[in-house]
Amino acid sequence: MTAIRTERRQGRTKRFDVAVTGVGLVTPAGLGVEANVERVWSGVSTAAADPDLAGLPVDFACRVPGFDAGALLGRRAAVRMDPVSHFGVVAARQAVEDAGLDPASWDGPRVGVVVGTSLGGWSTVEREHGKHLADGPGFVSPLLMVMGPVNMTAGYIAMDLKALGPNQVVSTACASGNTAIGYARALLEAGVCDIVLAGGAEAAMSPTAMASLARAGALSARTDDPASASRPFDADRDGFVAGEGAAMLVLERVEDATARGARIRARVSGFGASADGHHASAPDPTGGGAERAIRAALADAVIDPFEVDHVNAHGTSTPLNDITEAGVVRRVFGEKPAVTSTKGVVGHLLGAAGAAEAVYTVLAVERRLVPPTANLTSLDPGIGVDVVAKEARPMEIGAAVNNSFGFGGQNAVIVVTPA
Amino acid sequence: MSAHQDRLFALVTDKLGVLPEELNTTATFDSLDLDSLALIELSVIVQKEFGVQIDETALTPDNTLGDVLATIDAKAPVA
Repeated sequence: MTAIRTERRQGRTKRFDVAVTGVGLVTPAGLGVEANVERVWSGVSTAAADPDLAGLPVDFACRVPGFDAGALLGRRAAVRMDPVSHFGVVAARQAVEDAGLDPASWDGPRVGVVVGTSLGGWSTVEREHGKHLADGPGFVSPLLMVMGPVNMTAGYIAMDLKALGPNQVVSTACASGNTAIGYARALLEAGVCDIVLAGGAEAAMSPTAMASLARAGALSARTDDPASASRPFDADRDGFVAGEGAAMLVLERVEDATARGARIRARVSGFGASADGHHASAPDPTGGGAERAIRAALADAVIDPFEVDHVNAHGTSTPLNDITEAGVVRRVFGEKPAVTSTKGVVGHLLGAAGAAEAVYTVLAVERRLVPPTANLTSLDPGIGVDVVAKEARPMEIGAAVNNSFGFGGQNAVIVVTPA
Repeated sequence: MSAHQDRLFALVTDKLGVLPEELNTTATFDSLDLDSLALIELSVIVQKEFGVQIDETALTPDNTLGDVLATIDAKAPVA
């Protein structure tokens, strides 16, 4: 037993890569790759006062701009989905188109869907609960049960794209997007699917959810200057800025992608997960859980720490996360990798964060250009890693790591390598 | 034409997503692609907006918005 455990702990001897052949983005930076590249790589924050949050202790957020669900999905379909599914379905459609795949001709039962979300259709639950309290049970919508539950985003993606293979939602709080990618890769390695649509979606911009996050002290309270509120690794950071959106990736085995002549943007080469087992919301101050997830992902990818050139950090802009995470990055990688947090621009997309940042990591590797951390004007002296600030940094990236750590102490990390 | 028609049609478009050009008083719910969940939602809308409890027999796939309007006309409280 001991020998087997040791061997497993040391990881594989041969790497299993999956090709990222398509990506879709519905984020506060806009819809699609082009809008996101323009905004995220220029490092300009999207946070702004939000009329929907007026009267709350924190009344600003990063919202998806100009999103018309009825126009994109058809009104009849749109009225039966929570915004979390609007975002998820639109991002999935983008990713499939980006991959050059045609759902009309693919072998549906071989196409899986794995979506990460933390709060699912929370805002619909909250609205219907309000009707229940105000008018009674006879006024609660029967559609609540096809809008509120967390599984529905994956279900609607299947209905929309005829992706008829294994279909599920995974929920590891703010690590959900990375967890979804990890499980999607496992479905491909096991031969269960030929294509998996993987990613994350979140649309929890409800007054009650935001009030709770504010009262927990998780959110930046910089109400006088929202645009500078999300400032990962900066000495003056005071919390994260809530965001919403979705990101989806089309994943295929490399040989399949190559055989059909697909453009491979990058590869997902490793996945690692762990639990802190420490506290409901605060990170383990030793960073032990985060470190185990990173090392597990590196072992899975058969990559040594010194080979990693870029880290897309969880980098929430909370005082505790950033200092703890930087300590772990320093301990595992030293000072070599170019670290960034794209949350400075798009805020914290919660269950979609890992997926959006996975796509940004893929694009950084593909474009050989690391996006800057917005609002980083004065690096916290305790951070001690090379954080990319002010402008994007051109560089060759042989391997990159995307960190995601969630409430509940749930950690998920992926390794991305070039095509 | 029922005095309530314009308001009911606007609600069906807004809440159930049926396009205005699809709406008339004779099309069956089945032909409008309104399933059982949508029909229960319709009963909630009518109760909330018109104060009228809809008889379940008026909400089968073979019924029409004309049937619903007839019920509203018969039962709606006089404004």
